Amino acid sequence: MEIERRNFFISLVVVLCLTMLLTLIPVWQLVIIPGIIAGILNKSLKYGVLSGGIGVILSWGIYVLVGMITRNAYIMLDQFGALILGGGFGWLILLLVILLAGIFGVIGGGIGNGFKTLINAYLEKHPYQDSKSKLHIKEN
Amino acid sequence: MRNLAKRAVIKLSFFIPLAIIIMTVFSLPLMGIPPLGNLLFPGNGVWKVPGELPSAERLNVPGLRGEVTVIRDDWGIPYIYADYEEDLFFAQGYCHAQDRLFQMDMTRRQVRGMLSEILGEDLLPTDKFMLAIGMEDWAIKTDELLRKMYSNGTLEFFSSFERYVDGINYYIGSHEDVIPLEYHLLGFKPTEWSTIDTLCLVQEMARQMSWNYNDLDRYIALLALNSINNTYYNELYGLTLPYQIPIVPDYGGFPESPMKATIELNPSFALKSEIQNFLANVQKIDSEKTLMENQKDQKVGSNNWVVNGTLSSTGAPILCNDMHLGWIMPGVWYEQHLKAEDTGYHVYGFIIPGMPGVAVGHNEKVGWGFTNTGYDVIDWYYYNTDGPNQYIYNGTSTPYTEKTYSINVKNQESVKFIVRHTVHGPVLSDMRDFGLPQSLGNIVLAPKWITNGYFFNILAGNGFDRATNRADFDEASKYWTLLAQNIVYADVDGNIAIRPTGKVPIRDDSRIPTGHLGNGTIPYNGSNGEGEWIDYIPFEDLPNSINPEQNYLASANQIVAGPDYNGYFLQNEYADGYRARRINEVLRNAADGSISVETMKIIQNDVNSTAARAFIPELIEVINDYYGLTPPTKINNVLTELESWHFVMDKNAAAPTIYRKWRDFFEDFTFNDEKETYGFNTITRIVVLEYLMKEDESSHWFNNVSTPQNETRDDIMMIALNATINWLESFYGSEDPSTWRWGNIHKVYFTSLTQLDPLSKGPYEADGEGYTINPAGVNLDNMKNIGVARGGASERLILDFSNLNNSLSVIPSGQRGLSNSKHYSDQLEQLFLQGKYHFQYFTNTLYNFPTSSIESQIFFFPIGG
Repeated sequence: MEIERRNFFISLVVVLCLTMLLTLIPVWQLVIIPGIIAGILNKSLKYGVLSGGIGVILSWGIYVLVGMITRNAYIMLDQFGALILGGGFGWLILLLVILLAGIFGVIGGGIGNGFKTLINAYLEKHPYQDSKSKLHIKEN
Repeated sequence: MRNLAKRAVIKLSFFIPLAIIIMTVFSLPLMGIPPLGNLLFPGNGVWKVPGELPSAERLNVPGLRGEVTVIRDDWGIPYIYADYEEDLFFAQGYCHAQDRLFQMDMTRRQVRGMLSEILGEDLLPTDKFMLAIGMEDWAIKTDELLRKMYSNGTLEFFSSFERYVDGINYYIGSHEDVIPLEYHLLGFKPTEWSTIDTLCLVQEMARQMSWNYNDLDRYIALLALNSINNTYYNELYGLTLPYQIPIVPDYGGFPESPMKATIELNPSFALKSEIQNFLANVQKIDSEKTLMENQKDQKVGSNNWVVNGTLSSTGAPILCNDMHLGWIMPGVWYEQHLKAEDTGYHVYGFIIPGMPGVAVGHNEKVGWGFTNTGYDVIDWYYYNTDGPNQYIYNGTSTPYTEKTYSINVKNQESVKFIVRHTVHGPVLSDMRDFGLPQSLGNIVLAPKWITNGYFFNILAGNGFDRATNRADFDEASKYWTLLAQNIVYADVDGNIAIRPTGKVPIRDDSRIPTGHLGNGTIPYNGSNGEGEWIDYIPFEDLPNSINPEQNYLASANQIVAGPDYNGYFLQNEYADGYRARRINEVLRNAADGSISVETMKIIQNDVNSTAARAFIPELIEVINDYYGLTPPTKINNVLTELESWHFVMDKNAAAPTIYRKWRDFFEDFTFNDEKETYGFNTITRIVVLEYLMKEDESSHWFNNVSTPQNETRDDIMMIALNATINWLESFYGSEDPSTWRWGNIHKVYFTSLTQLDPLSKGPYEADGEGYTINPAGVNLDNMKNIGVARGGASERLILDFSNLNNSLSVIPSGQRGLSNSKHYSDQLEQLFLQGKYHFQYFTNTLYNFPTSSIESQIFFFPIGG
């Protein structure tokens, strides 16, 4: 349980930093990657999606906060909201961005955890091909 | 094991499709909006736009000779101080790009036929038309000529011009990933700027000021009206409009009723249907539709005036200028202060962003301001064709010359486009060239336009910026070729002057048939060799006034010169003259020593309507004549409002609403019956209606030709009044005239360049009308869709020559064209709409700049410095 919790926090920090780094590359679709890594780093699906979701939300949240302070980005979100929904909906666009950050993190976490499970299934089927497993067997 | 694999498959088959769906949704454009992910997600779109400027920034720039400091004041206006002039222009280019890059980019794209490249094939007709009228071609040719002059040592300024362009490109190159929101919305990036782009902006201003179809409109009216009576045309469109006070006072004044004359029409040049067809079709091109609407709403106008030391309270001249253009966000003008130590170049004023220097403003010695002159600088020619490749010119079959363009179109292959030219200009009448189905059969139309020629306005502007006296200024004015302007002038030595300046053609009218009005008033028959341009009016022969006895000079787009100017034909078009009447009234009646800067602020914001003063007393008199002491209640209520009114177009008053709607009805009921019956749609002038109302009560125009009875002037005025009451009762839902507030119906709107409402400003309730000194005209034709005023003063400037530091200015937007900046609309909201101004800090060195007004600074250093 403790290991899982430790992995959760480690993956959270990894996701946060990696997401922040990826904002330097103007290809937003890459945001799925930190979540995937979170999913792989955590044993359970629950912790995988949680660390992915929270990590990306925190990272984008900090980015958004800085952007609003340094670039008056909220004004543009408000203008953008007005373009689609009518005046005064900047907060909704902001909420949408944060919500989607969570969703991308969660989906990434889910995919990562799916891969991890798949890898585990493979390793179970082919135990001797795993060096650690081999060592484990010899020691026993 | 199976369980694990199964779980993995379940997880992946749930999350992967979900990821694909959500990512696809945010990666695809929806309803014309670019992919939301690219716009909204961190690292992209709104998060990669320029923000507010840091309080201090150091830039090490290759190629600089010395240091440059840019101080921004409380309004974000840059004050640029440089060791060397070439660096000064570099920094000016940098600031323009920093604040107005998208605006500059879109304007050059419009002129150069590059809109379809970013907006798609819908803009192809506009791109083709812009290329066809030759603006880019002549910018390129002029650029080549200027470079040649520079290389042979006859044009020193070109190096500064190039450094200005370098400054723009340095900004673009150093901010490739941080670009204005509009670029993200439209999905393209700015490309390199060139001197040709800057020259294209001059061409675009010339287009806005002088490109028109008035000759063709007049021709339709002439044909229609002369088929009924050969005095009708001159009654409505006679060459001298009534009540004109000439801009240049040195050539006498006009009598008040110069309008009756006869014209014999030669029916052989009756091309009415072809020209009507052309005028209807050309409006299908977006740019032309907008231009025609703007001209109809009289957005193009301006005021400038100057008083000398006798009238001013300071003992030195005070000069004022407000140029009226379409209101856009960001505004048309960019304000800056420029100072170079090495040459002493020191100016303050406005310029179109994308151009170097200052176009309107002052230096340490002289100041100047513009209004549009309206010299007739475009003529239309029609020709008979001789097969598909030739036309008849001067009786001879002549091949067209052709020029081929390639237009890039978004998401499709580029389009090849061929423009045919006659000896006069591009063939514009065959709409098939612009992707529209109509042509005029065996007739083609081509314009000869002054803008299709070499132009040196950039050099003139440079000369204005450096002038130290009237002689210098005159010398610079000789280079002012395109976009003729009434240039008002004053200097610290106490001189005031005005010269309507620009290149004006002289035509050879020896071949025109009887009945043709000559002077490029209506189209010429090019096949017969009519109306060739044989020369241009010499600069020295243009009307001019310096230090007149009246102690002031004023222009508001009225007629340039009085009847004693008989050198050359100048113009067919000028304003009705109501603004000019008001300005002249105020200045003429001012006591010596009474006019201060504060007085000038009041005059620039004046909304006392001379037009209302001309019409309403007549209406009151007619009402009293009609009903005596006992008018019906509704009429009496309206009469009460009008009688207590002092003709101030106050947004909180009701009388302006009654006046304006009644004037519209009065005009409609006077002229629309003839327009519909005789088949013409040329704009009639309010001042002509005023003249007919005052001087020709029995005029046939008041009779409604579509009814059997004979209506009189008074009948029409009263019919108009009853229609007004019904209209306003219905619109306001109230029978009480005191509730008919002008502000409810008269609003101003500042449209974003993108045309998007969230980036636009307004509507705001406003005082004034189209004919007040502070103008704002609305279209009230459609009760269900009342218009808003979209044009008026594009800047206000008051120069105090007793202390240039006491000079004031304001623009109707903000300095920066970035919608997230506090300087996007601060001047509009905090100053312009309240009739307020900000000070100009005309300090000789940056050390004298008031530190409390410094908002941010950029320090440019040469690399290694």
